[in-house]
Amino acid sequence: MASIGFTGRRSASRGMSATREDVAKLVLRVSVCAMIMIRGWAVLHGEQAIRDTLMRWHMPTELAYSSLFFEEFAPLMVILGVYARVGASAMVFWMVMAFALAHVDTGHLLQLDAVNVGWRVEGPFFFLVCSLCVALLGAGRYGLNIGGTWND
Amino acid sequence: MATAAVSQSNDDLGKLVLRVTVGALIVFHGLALATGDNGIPNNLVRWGLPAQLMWVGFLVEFFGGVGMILGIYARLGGFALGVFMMLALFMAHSGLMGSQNHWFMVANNPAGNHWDHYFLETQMFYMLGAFAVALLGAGRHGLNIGGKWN
Repeated sequence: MASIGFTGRRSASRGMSATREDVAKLVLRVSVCAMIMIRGWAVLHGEQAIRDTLMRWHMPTELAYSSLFFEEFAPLMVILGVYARVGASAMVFWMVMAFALAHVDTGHLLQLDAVNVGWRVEGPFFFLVCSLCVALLGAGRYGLNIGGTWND
Repeated sequence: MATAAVSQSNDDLGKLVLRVTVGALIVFHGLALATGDNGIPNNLVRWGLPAQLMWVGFLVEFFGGVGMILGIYARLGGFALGVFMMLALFMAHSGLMGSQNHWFMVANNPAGNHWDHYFLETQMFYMLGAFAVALLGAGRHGLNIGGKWN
């Protein structure tokens, strides 16, 4: 079965054949989204970091609950393959805001991690870049394939 | 045709962004390893292996990373780094040979007062990102050295 719902542009041009690219896109989008959903789950369970940042910028801490959309719902769209490029773009927006509000003025960009070996913002940077990649590459063939060119 | 061309360049752009990020970040881990970070040597010794084997790790991290950034045998570097990260997950994070099993753990935020992420988040990013580079290839933007291995 080529797809459910819309037939994506790429699968239409390639016929039925799955490729290594489709596997890579699946691996990338599922891993990024599963891990950001764990972070979103922590926020919804009272993790304070986002709320602290919002307070520092004199913004309402209730905005932290928008992680329900950006860190749970949007990744779910991407995992399922439903308008995945849209969901990934929302995740990119979220990470850009995270960098702008939490990691630039604090100087994190130029710091090493205090606990682990590595760059201070390695994790957030991976989330930013990998969501950007999903937005650029699309969902590939494995998934519900709903959303036409907005998905694949 | 216009859409096809746009989609192609988006693909190449995505591949570029992914491989440069994975490559650039792992290069620094390679440099840390070469300048005295003893995480990997300690694990090798615990498994009864010579600590000097860390230089294989350095080769994979540093030259694999540089290759991925520039587009030189990027698929090969990605595959080597992915396998290297699999070894790391087994040797240092699986509960075997005196390591802690981190596979099903969450870890704390920097403030240390709340769990907030999967324990092996970074390792997973490197392993799966590297395998993704191996499967996707380097795309059009780069030195394009290595034929089908790039």
